[in-house]
Amino acid sequence: MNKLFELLKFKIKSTINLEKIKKMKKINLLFFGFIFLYFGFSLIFSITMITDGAINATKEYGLTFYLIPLFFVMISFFLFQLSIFNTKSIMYSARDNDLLLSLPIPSKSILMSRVLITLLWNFLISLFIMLPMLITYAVRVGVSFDFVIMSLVTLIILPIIPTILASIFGYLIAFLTTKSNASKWIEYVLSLGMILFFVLIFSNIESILMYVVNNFDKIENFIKYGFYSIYLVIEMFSKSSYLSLILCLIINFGLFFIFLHALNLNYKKLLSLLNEKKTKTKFQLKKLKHTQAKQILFFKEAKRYFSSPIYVFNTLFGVIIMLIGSLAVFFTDKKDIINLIKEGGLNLNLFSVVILMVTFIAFLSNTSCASISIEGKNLWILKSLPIKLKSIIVTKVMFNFIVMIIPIIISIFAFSFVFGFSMIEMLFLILVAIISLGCSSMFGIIINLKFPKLDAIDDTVVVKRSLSVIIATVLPLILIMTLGTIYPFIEKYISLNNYLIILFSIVFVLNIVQIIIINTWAPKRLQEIN
Amino acid sequence: MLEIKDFSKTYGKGGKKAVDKLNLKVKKGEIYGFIGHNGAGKTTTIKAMVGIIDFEEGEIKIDKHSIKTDPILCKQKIAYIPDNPDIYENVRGIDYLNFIADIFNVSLQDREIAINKYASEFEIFDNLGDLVSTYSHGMKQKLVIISALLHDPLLVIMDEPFVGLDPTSAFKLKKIMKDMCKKGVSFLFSSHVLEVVEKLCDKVAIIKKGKLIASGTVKEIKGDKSLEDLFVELND
Repeated sequence: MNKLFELLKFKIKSTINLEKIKKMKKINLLFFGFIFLYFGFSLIFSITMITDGAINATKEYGLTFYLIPLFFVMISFFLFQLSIFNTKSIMYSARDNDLLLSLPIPSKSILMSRVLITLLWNFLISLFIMLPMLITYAVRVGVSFDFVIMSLVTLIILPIIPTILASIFGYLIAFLTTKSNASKWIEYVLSLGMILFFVLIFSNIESILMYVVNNFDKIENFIKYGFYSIYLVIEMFSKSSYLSLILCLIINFGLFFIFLHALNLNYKKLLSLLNEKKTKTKFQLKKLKHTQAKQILFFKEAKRYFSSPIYVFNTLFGVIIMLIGSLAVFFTDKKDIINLIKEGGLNLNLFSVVILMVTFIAFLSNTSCASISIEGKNLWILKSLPIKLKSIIVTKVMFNFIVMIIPIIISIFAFSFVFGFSMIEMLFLILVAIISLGCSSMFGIIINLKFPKLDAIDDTVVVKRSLSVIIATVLPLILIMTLGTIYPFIEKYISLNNYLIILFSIVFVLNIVQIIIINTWAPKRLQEIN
Repeated sequence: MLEIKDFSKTYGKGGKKAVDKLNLKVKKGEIYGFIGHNGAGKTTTIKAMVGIIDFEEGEIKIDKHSIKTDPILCKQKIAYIPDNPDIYENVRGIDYLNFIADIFNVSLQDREIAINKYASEFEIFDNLGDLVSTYSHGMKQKLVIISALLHDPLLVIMDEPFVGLDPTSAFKLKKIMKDMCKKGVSFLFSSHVLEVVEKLCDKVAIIKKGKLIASGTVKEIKGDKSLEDLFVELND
């Protein structure tokens, strides 16, 4: 197609940025290579374990062949959820809209290149998750020539429908957010709806599975007439049906081309429609308010944060889930929770579980690791104002701390009340939250200062794909996982309480080191960044 | 008001000098033009003056205070208008102005007067209630100019301030500059529009490949030629 290949090549090249990787120091390259490999293997290991557990559970009912279609559906949902905001920024509200439309490239090629980029991303993600699942399944259940062919086809078709659906939803979000004054609220409601949907699904997974087992025929009919593509995947694996395989390919690729053709009919019009901006006609200057410089910096930070739903949900997701969980325990039997922990293979008491949860959430909910990058081209404003560079950094650290600590403390109160923790235990939990959150807030800003991304095309790139965000969330995750894995080996020599006290003492010392870095290195580094 | 002494800036270790031993003085009430080819070092020098980038060699003083050792004090006395009006897109125009006024501690009464005056003058008052993301390039530029004038600066440093402005607004900005000059405010601005520099400035500095090749009053520098002819000649 006209210029499609050139467009795709350029897009992929600019996304991967090989030149930047080539310029990286060898030691940095080795370090990040190790981190990514370690994280990758940990994730693959977890996927393998989950698949193994699922095979054991379904073997009892003779429904093992349903697992691949089940994985297919789950990954499809995951890809769909992941792609909605990406499609908005890649396909519709892209910054290069004007540039590309002004070039002698057919709009079909522009659309194709964007859809294919989204599809490629989704394909790589699904490959990373689905491949270990398929290999585990093959090892446990047995492998045949048919299975290999069916698996390959499944891998190819998996990202197609989620990409189509996400593109449609992405357009709706882009359209509504551009046309409405309450644009952010629409994005918030849609995102919150999505979170609640997943929370509901996963919190009721047991009853849903029981319903599936008990109403097998009804479900099969529902899938057959409602989601024919999934029904064909079931047929493919349960009956090794090549007819289903061919139909599956025809349906998926057919839908893909129909979608492309339909979108292409109005694509150029859609882009120009999205470009229209809504403005008020008349402005009246009401009484202005005076705020102290430090306060206004904090409010500016808050305004920036809450104006970006993708930033909010990427960082507040864990805290929201924890808050919902802490409220849910009021309506759950304490014994059921203890049983759930035991079934999960954790030999821990409730207090230790809450400590782990608080630490985990505190380290993973981090706004500061993107807070410098999110300034982007606006960084000159802060740097040219008569405020100390340290104040800018401290405000960003404090913002993360305050936003996260409030829901975490509410959760701690709720857990302490329901689980009957003593006052000392509750205070210890609050101390753990403060130390952990302080550590993650400062770590986030230091990492972001070290690896800023000021040239991102939009917030999604900063919040989801920038190096500082990946490091600030993955590194603590790896550390927590590693420390958790080590403990069973040293359990004989040290009690869990002592182990936790040592770990939190280390985190406390780390906080002091980070305070020194923020007072010395960080302002200098901020001055260097341009 | 502004004194630059032996200022040098190198990007990266062992890299080429973007600016090399630049010396410049801007007195109270002067309008100084700063001209040079693309990549000559104008923006680097301007960014160093306003404390956005650090520099290794030399000294930059604003009202006798060093931007290196007293950055806050210096920044309080100056206003900066960048070459590209990249400002917060997610706030209303009025919110941005109020934010800047808060940072500079401008009293409520003074900021209201200044906003009313300048926003009306630049014909942007009716749009102050809209999100900055809905503004055109020129409107953003006007907003940045207004924000720079809110705190009565002693020195205004501008990087290509007329780019994106409509002729009426450009005329008004020039008038504001002249009026403020009479009150003792100094201006230093870079521009590629040599006619504007020739007509508006008291003094001019020409930079080439990071080095100052000429500076002085417009009359001294250009002699009988036009500034455009001289500029082309010096850069050949």
